[in-house]
Amino acid sequence: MKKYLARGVLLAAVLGFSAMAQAASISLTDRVEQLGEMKYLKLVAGRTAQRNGLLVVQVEMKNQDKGNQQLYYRFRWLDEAGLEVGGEEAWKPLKFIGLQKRTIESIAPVPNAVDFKMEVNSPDNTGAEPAAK
Amino acid sequence: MKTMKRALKLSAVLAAVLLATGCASSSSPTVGGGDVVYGDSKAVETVTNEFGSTDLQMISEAMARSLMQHPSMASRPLIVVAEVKNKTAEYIDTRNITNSMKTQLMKSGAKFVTDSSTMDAQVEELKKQNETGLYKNKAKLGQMKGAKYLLTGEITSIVKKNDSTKDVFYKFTLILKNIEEGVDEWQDEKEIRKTSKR
Repeated sequence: MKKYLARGVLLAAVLGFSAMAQAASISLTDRVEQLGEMKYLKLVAGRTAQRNGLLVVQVEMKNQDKGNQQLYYRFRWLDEAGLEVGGEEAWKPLKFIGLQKRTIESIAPVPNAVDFKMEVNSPDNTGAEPAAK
Repeated sequence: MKTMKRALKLSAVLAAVLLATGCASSSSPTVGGGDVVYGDSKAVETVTNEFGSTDLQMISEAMARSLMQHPSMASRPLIVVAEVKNKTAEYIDTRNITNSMKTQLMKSGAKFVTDSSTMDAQVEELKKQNETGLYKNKAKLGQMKGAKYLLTGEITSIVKKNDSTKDVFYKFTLILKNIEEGVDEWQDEKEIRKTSKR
């Protein structure tokens, strides 16, 4: 019994590790397009992975304001040639309470999507494009 | 010199006339008085807090993409869409939601069999091909494929209001049922809160 339990724990550990290993950290600088540099909502981190042959994206954002902040966002999906695939997505609203950190997850609508662009807009923005880093 | 002055005067008058009529700059391929404008069909709609286009788009997108991640979808099994019940007090065209979801799921590679909304038309056509003797190439009888999974669900709402605020909470639940085994293989929810000042 103990032997099976130990094997089970080992298998779970291996599976858990492989699932984590599949998620890769990515640079958000070129992928996130701010429609006006956001004053309070900041990008923290981005990760991608594959699930059932579809690209999964997680983008972590933080509200640096003590008050509530509103975000509107949507993804655009790109194939290997850099062409947009899967059609145009709807804009989605997301509310951040003061100093809250939230993770936005999205899944590519088509299996041939290999990369993405994310459009973000916060009503509290500078009205200018973000400075190149 | 006189000719030059006259030409300048003439150009000035012509420019003034053009500016007044605005014929060059206002040209666009439209018909009508200009009171109607086309907007962005993907924009976030906040006209009222009743069920709207953004709710429809968010629900169908979230549900379709959540379902496609489930392991039961890996082999792209056949699915049949059943009714999604509207348990809210509002009129909501739930077929519109399932249609949007189906469109998204099919883009992802999901396969669907004929559901009850189009079954009559399909069977009628099948019978016509086989019974009238009019057709050279006939779709064979008894070849239709049965679905492995059935997609169903419901939408509910909780509405609260006081003197200053109206709060509407929508919950859309979608269930994937294994038809043969009678097992619910997958289920997910999308919740939407819409609050407005009265």
